[in-house]
Amino acid sequence: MMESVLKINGLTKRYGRLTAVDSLNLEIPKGTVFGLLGPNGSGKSTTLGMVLGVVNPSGGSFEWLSQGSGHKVRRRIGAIIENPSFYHYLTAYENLRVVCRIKKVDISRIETVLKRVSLFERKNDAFSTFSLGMKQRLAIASALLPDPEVMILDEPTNGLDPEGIAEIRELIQSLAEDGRTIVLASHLLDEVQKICSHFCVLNRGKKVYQGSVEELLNSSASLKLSAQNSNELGRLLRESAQVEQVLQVDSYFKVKLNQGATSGTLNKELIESGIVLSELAIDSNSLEKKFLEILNTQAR
Amino acid sequence: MIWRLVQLEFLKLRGLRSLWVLLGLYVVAVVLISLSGGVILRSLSDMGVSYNGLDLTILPIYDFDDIWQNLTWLGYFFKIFPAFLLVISISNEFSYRTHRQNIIDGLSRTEFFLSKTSFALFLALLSGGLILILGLVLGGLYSDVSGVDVIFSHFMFVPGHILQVFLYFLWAIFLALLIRKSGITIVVILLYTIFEFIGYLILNEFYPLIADWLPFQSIYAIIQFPYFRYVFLETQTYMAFTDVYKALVWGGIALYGIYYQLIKRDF
Repeated sequence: MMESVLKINGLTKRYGRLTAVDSLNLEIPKGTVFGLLGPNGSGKSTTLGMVLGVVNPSGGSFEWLSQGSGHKVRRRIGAIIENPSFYHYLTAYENLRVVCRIKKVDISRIETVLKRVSLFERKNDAFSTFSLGMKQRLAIASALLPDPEVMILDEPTNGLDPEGIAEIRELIQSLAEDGRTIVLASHLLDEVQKICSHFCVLNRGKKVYQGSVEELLNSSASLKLSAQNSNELGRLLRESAQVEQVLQVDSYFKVKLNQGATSGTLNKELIESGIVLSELAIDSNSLEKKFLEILNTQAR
Repeated sequence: MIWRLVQLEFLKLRGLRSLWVLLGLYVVAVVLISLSGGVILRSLSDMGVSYNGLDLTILPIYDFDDIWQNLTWLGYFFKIFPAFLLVISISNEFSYRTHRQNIIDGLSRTEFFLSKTSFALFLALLSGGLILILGLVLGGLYSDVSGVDVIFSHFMFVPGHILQVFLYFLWAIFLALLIRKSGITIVVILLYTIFEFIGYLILNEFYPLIADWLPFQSIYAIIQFPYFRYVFLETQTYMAFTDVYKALVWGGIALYGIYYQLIKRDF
């Protein structure tokens, strides 16, 4: 069984008669890049607020790293919720010193994390002089101070220009490669598809879907395949037990997979049959389509 | 733990120009007002002013043990400067949303509450320390009486002053938490101080018991006006338990207000 970094049991938040989060049960597996998806008002930020101590839950419980929900375990987590929040008049270095004091981390870590986000040269500049991208990188540096097992990033590319988005995305990917668990709350499905391995969809305060990105994309997903030996590829696809439907469009095939089949398993089968694919692509809009399908199913 | 939290608060504020400006103003104002008493009396005496034929320079305003009540009463008026600093520190937390980030980073809400209130206590202790130094220096220079028992016989006014400014600071923090904008909070504090004083004067005519229970008046009343004694009028030269009690009740209300805002409410 997969180890979890966060277990949420029946977590609820009510604001008067409005239930923002409704008996939420969720487990975030260790070592994953976990996307938290949902439309505006779905309860993503409230959920993160509760598990990070800034919103008082109305009911339910949660546990971080199997060590409870107190403030001490939060020191071992790196989290940025909404916009980067720092003292504007303090320098980058001074701001991180404040965080070191709270997290009880040695200040020698500041140099390491500032170098990691390429801000070391600007360490003595006031936070107020930073661009939005630099502020976001400083926030990531701050989250990295305790060398955390888990990082929570809420809309980390919000308001950034394309260059800034690419920079932050690269940074997140490199953090994930370190083996950290990353929880990414976002409404940008393309971003989630590119970065996340697993995700969960919230709607009206309830969990409506949880699974791996690959699983979802491959479950009745459209694949686009082509090979030099087009006839042989067509024959194998029609005969394959993994394929539900095949459609030839010009020189390539559009394939719908059966439940349980993935692009990886199909590719393996084709290689074993002597077919080397020259193209294998998943329909780029799939996550968005699936996301809307999930929400529409709920609405009905 | 408390010292760590005071240091944390100082780390947050030390880059803030207002910290140094307001604390500088406070120190200069308290020192100047403390020194000015003697200077004013000497100037008046040089101009030939006297009271019932008495040379004003013989008034023992810097004598032990009078000096403690005289200085603490004067010093209380300038607590507004460190109080503004506390207001700015709270408002900054809300405008930069760092109060949320502090909690997310692993500070407990109780620690956040303690960091603010213990920093207020630290400032009150600094204020008490300044009065103590001024009292010892001015008393040492000008007092006609000396001896350890005389020097410290009314020393309780110094801890009384610390309590007085601390309780006032708690109200400043509470109001800053309620209003969350430093400019508006400072205006509210100043206006309320004026209105409460006018209200006190009116109420004191008809309902003195109620007048004595007004919040800022209760805190102010811990140390009574000391200078009547020099014109041979009755003066309360001690801190009455009932006055301290009223101030503590209002301080307790402010403390609970701060606690409620920081512990019970969502950030």
